[in-house]
Amino acid sequence: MSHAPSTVTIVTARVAFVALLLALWIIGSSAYGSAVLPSPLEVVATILQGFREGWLIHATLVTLSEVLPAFAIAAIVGAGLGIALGLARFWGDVLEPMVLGVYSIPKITLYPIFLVLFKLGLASKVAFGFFHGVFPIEILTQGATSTISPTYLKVARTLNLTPWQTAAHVVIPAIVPAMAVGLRLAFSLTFIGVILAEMSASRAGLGFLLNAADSTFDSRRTLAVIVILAIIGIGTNLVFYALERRVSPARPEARQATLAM
Amino acid sequence: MVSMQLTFQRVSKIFSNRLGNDSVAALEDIDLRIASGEFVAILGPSGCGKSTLLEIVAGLQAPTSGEVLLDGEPVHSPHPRVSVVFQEDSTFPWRTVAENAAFGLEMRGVRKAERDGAVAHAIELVGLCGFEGHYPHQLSGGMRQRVAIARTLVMNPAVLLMDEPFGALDEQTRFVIGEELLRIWDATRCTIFFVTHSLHEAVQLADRIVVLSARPGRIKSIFENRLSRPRVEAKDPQTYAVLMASLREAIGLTSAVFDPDAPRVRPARAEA
Repeated sequence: MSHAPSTVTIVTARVAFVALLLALWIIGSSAYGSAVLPSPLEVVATILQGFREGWLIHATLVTLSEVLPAFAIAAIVGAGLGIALGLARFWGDVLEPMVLGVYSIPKITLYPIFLVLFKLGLASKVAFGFFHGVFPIEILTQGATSTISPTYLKVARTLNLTPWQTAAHVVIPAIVPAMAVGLRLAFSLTFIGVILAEMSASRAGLGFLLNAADSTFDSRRTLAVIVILAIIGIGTNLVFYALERRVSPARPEARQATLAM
Repeated sequence: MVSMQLTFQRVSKIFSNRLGNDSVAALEDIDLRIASGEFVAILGPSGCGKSTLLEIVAGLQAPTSGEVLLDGEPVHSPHPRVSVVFQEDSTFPWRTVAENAAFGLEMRGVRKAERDGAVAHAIELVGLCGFEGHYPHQLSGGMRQRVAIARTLVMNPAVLLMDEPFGALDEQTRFVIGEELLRIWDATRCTIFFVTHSLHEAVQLADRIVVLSARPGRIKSIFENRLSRPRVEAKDPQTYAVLMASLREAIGLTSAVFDPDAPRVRPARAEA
């Protein structure tokens, strides 16, 4: 094997790659005209204008106010259900194919049902975001709980630990790395779920703005919204990656699990 | 540190499937007395029930019939003076070496100031001074097993049960860590019940070697090991070779190159 490239080399290559994409964007913009593909500078100007006039800030806050509760509920329900089904083998075995089955349905097809149940406002977006986010965290937590090393549990038994001690000091620390991966995936999916819901039927939010801009061929606004969505997505991903590295200093397998999802 | 004696009275274990129409006799009529402070190796092929026997002593499994007595008291659940070292890595990856070693005392509610001394002593005994703040992933397999041993020593065990603890290590590391275990045994004088499938390891470590047969696991023979420590082959090749040949024959490892007329030691006890 040859020498592994240094971190500096990798970072330089990344910057060069981003510069290349921006260059292609600029070339594309001058080739097709700014009405079809506005240049990066025009998009930045639109974003600044959106902040000055307030419509972009408002839409962002509406979306975040839907994403955050949806994610919080998905995290709590998903982790709780995952631990419970991971420990209660019988129910885990009974429900697993159903969970995986529902997870594999293109969820947007179920949105009309959410609209009927939760109406047009915030509740339907939160519910639909939750419905996207709850699966990865439930699946990863259940998997980690049910495959926890039997030796760890034997250690707990030989020390006569109470069930509470076993849960708090053996089971939960053992599954934290998998849960961190689950939380990151859950946030991405919750975010997608909320945006899809806003794009399908809503009166506010980034998804609504995107749809409105699209339907009036306002490609500057469209791209401005996409840039904001990308910033939120990339930013939260970086935060969750940092969290993952903190809780799993030693576990390359946790990162491999990410790739598998 | 007071050790305890261990008595097996006609211990049998039968595993049945859920329907109860198919059963496997894992252990049959195990009768054995292990003196306080003795180092006994249980030697046998895989599937002879030696780990099951260890788990019965640990209180992790119940025998189908018979009893295991610790200083005369029957074992029904994990005993606070009995500690176990497992073959698989049992160190917690989220705890440092010192935190792993302190785990048992912490769970018993011993305050940090009080457990620090015991933890430092145990870490010193297993030779991990300077690694207190390391995490298991920063250590080799052999060092992780030392951490597991330190975690048991902190509990001041009267009986130490070891289930092929060095089975995953290479021959060289296995020998070195074995010698260190003897040093620890010398310092603590606890009773050690050591399960292994390695003849060399059994000869290196134990005072008595109990050979189990497979399915059902029964005591086939028991050998006294009179070699002086450290038991390296070069010191007394004759006695070493004879003991090895006898053990090999007892566990049924004979081959074409095996000389049937070579001398043997007579087992202290053999199957009727």
